[in-house]
Amino acid sequence: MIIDCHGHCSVDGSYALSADDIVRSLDRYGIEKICCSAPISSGRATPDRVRQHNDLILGSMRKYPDRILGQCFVNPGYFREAQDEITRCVVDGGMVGIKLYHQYQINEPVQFPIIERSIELGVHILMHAGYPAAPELRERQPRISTGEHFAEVGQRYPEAMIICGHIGGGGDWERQLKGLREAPSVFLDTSGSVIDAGMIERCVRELGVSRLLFGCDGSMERGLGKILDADITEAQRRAIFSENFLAILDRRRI
Amino acid sequence: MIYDADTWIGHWPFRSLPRRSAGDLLRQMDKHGIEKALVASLHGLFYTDAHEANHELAREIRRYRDRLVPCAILNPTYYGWQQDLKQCREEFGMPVLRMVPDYHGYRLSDPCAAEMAAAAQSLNMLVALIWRIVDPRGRHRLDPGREANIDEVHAFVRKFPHERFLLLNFPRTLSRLRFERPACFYDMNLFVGKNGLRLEEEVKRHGAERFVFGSTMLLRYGWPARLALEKCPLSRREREMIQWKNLARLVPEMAPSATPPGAPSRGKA
Repeated sequence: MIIDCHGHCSVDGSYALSADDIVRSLDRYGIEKICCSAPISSGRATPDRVRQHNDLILGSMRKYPDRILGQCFVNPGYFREAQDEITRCVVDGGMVGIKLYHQYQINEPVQFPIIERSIELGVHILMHAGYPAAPELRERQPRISTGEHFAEVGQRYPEAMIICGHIGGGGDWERQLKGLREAPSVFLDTSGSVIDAGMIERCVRELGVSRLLFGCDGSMERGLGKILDADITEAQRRAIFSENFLAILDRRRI
Repeated sequence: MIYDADTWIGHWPFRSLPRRSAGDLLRQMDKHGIEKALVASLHGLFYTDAHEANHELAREIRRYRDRLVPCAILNPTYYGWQQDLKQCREEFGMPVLRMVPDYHGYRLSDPCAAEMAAAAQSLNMLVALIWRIVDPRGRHRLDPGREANIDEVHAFVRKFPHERFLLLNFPRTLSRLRFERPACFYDMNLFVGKNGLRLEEEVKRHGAERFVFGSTMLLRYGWPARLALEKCPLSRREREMIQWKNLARLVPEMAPSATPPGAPSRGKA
């Protein structure tokens, strides 16, 4: 069984691929389920826009309830609205996790109420992350979360299920691993288009296989291919492909 | 059967690679069902005298010439490249020249670039251009490589209306070129994404005759390119064209019937 923990779609194709195309892709690549979100990556993430984006995921979940799981995107800067949106989408709407983007870094105090809510509900948080190597690229995402930010928040909330997004999402992935080593409770998803030889073996060596979750983030052939190609055992591959994420889903309290 | 247009062996100065040698490449090729590959020296990009890397490459793959076909890398700003190019073709049997302007301090718009390409073509060598070696988001601060300027690539290719080019690791076609159809062949490695549905769209749009298989091993994992092609819904004819036939036509030394120079035995790792 293969579950993709990092995907994006919308019911009508107005954001990323349509739910129909996502399921076509899942079928083509032999992936049973995908966990999707619709984060706002540019412009102001106002509560109205956030709700519209999450509606695209709720619609996708309704259309393909056996294939598409949802993650609720929120902007923690809108404290009350973010909490209401988690209630609407996770508690009432059946989403299985929370998605955070680069509006704030994961260790900023504004995130703490969101993290505490996720602990209360027993759901994971998938956090956009990366360390763009070039200063000019870092300036484009000044509040992107890096390994050391995860280390700090992981030590503050060891009971939280925080996932550092896409080790292959671009950037200095070796540096990300240095920070994540210091946060043993933080998970890492293997998604992203970067397929540098040895990347997955390094993730296993530095973090241990139990912290790794399979994801594609839109790059099915690359996301799958690097796990299939990595010099790891079949048991480790199974853990990454689905067992670790299923264990996370089993911890939900709602 | 698969022929790979885009492989490298050697060191990369900015990251530890788990595999580096010709033997390593052959083992990876066996794993992925790749019969033959065009290969160049990775660390040779950084040599003051790039031609020394061609010497090294010729020596390292000497025993595997039935499976590994070497590509020359030369710097047109470095004195003596004309004689080195001749040696690459005539002595080392290199049918392809990979041009890497950023690593050698010139631009495709410089006269020396066109001069070297013309010289290679006069020796019946195929010129390969590369969009990028590494993803800019993870690039080391000392790495001079950048993504090729598409306008410069357009202008460069247009100087040679009767020649063919191999475009490696490009993300899209140079569709503004009216004569491009017979002139440019693309490694499919970066024609992926869109949740694994893009390659199908690109092949439908441009035709299977435009693409060749490319993995960028040993710099990257090989399975993603293999998977992209395996999962792409193509006719048998289209699949074979991309897997090996297009490259075999483009580079006669890659053809199944080609006789490798001085390699009597099958190159198994």
